[in-house]
Amino acid sequence: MLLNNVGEHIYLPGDVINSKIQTVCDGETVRLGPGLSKHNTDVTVSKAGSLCFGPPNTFWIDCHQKRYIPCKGENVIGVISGKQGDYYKVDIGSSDQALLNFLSFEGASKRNRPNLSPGDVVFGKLAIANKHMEPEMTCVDVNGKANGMGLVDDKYGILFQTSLNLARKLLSPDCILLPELGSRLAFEVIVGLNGKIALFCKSSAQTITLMKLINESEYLSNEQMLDVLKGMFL
Amino acid sequence: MPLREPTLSNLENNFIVNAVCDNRRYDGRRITDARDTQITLGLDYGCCTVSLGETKVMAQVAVEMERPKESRPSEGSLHIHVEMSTLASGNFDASKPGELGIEIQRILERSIILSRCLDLEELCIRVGERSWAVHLYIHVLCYDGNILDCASIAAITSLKHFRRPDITVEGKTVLVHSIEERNPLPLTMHHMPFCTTMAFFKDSKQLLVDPTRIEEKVMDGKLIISINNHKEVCCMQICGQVHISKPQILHSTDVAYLKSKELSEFVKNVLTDDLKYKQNGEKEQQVSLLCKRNLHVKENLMCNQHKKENLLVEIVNPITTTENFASELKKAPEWLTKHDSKTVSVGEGLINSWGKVGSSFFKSIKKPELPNLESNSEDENDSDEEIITLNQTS
Amino acid sequence: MLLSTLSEMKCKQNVLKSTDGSVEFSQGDTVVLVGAYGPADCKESKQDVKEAIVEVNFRPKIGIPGIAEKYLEQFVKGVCESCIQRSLHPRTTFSIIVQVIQDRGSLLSCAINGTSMALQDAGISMKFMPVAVTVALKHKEEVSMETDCGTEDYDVIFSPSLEEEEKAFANLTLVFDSVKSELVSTYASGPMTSFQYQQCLMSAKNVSKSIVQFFRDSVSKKLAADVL
Repeated sequence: MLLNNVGEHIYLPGDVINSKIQTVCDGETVRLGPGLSKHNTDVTVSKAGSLCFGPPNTFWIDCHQKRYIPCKGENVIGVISGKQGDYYKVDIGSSDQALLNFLSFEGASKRNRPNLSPGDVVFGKLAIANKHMEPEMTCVDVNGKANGMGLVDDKYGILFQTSLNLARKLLSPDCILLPELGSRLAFEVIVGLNGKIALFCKSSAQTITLMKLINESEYLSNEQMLDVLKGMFL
Repeated sequence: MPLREPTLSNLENNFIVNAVCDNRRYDGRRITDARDTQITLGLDYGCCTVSLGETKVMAQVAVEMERPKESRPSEGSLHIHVEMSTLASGNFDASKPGELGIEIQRILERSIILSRCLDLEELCIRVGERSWAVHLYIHVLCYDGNILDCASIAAITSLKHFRRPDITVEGKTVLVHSIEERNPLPLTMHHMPFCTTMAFFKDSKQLLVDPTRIEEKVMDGKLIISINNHKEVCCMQICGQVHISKPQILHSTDVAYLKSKELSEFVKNVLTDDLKYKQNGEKEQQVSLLCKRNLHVKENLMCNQHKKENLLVEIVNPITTTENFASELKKAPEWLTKHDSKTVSVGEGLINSWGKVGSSFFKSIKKPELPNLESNSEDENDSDEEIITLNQTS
Repeated sequence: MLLSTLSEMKCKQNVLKSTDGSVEFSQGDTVVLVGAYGPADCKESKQDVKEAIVEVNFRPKIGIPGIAEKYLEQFVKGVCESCIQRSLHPRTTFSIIVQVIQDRGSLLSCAINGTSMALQDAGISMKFMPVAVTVALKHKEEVSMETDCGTEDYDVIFSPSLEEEEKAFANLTLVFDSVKSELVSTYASGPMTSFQYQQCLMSAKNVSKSIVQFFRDSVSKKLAADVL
């Protein structure tokens, strides 16, 4: 995912951006991402934010949002809230709770069921997500391997909620915060695209400081982040 | 309609409990630190918004006249209403206050009304006949733990800030003067009780001041102390599963007293500053901060103000654009059913048959003889009235 | 050409932690706090399989919400239903809460502009942003000789104060869409001629464009630091 801003322009819902798209991809097929939709021959914006372009032909609107809307294939962190038949109910912050099958764990079978209780934190991928159905999560990849997904269990960790754009920003290769921090400090972090972040450090003091830093980085540019980091680790 | 409450994870739960054991809190505060307190006063008398960290409460005071109670004929009354709107938290129901709302209302009533901090006798107008009833509305705007402390600051500030209209009593008539006519009067307050909430962890061994929402979910129980700046305890309550020893209660009272002293100074300063502002004729909403530990960058970015130059508005005279408008009218009527050059109707109703028949139609029908119409001779001559009566009968 | 002034606007976004989107919007001395949730969960009995439902809660400062508030709620709800792309999120709720902080006139237009910004702050998909303007028509107290249009014996006041609203013979709140500045909804009280209505409509249409520009500035100010 590349974040190249097409100009410094901010769009409001209802704006038509045909000409903007034509200047970048004239006569080509384009892919419209979140916040953009096609009405007749016009491409209209439906969310207020800045227009982004990812080569070769993808456009989307980057906007501030707190509420998660499930999308297939996204990695999310959820909290188990209960059981329903063969499924766990997982709170991922969206309007409907996600379903997680007992068998969607590595090595799970009818006999060997995972033992999770309400309040446990799981990291997984959304296998089914559309507007008419409850989203379904899975903690295995296509080969049936966990691949880093599954129960998140660590004694010194914390889970906290941030805005969705901060989560996207942290995960984007352009953001230097996590790599820079990693070169100075040993810690483990899981960022879910639903804005939930699980953070594990050696001590609670470190965890608290890092959590504060991540929360404040939402409104900092790369250069400002470097300055802050330099001030912290003299 | 209330929304689902987010589920608390074990990670958060364990982390907070473990951090508290190390004398740490997940938001970086110390054990006895309260969050930043901010008071914003508006133009209205008796209205203030108080925020304690992310928790936000608005209070508004209003008065009305009523008949005093039979049992206390020479006193006015004070009523507290707590409104927990869905704004504060998705899972609050706007129509009912819920357990939390009732708890806050009861403790505020005990702390403010039963401690007799407001002089109710002064509110009496005529013994046994008329008195002022003071209503204190508490609107919870954002819930991030410890609504009670925030609400008690808001309640006291707004009561102190409020001015009631002046009155003159002449015999049995009561004359209420408007604010323009005579300076309104403040309410008399004897003391200022502030509530302090302390959360207990780890078998009641560890104490935290000003718990946040997550800390409130994790804690064993809490101790609420309402105390004024004369070190008089006005109300005390223990909730949850805690067993608190005598020295702990004495210690907590000291903590609450220090906080209350600091707050009463702060509220007094805010109110005197506000008076100065008002005298200078400045209309700006006044914002005061108790401690400026961490001001966010966010604040400056999120606030946008309209520039003054942009404010001039031009009033367009439609005469210059009538032609456009007329042409628009000619274009528009796709959804209008056109009958002739002058008649259109909305929807696809029946075609008007009145115009075709013309005025001769009415003349051909005999006027019905109704007794009430005959009595009024003027109506008979009025042709418009005739049509109406025809409509009714036909 | 007559001139009138629009009151100063202020907008503070993302003020409440608890809501998905929130805005403290002030127009002159009128201040409202608007919070929006959505798309959020919805009781099964209330769900609509085709589109999301919109709930508006209008909260006065003093007393419990009465009939007047219910009426305003319905009006704001109608505006929101027309601007939100509801079919994108079936079986969900959009919940909007408008809390009056200070009422000094033109409350309805302030509430709608605030709602518009709160929906935007919550990142809700919309067809357009509603923009509201309140206009009051008031008889001139003393007829001055200098006016260009001597025939007019009334003033057109934009964003009237409470006092002006009371003295005015007609009040009008016009809601436009942000794209083509077309009329979305009108709330009128008091008698007025069609000429006066046209006059208000035309001038308010122009004003709405400057408010849209204000919205645009506010959004870009918020996002300026957000962009990498």
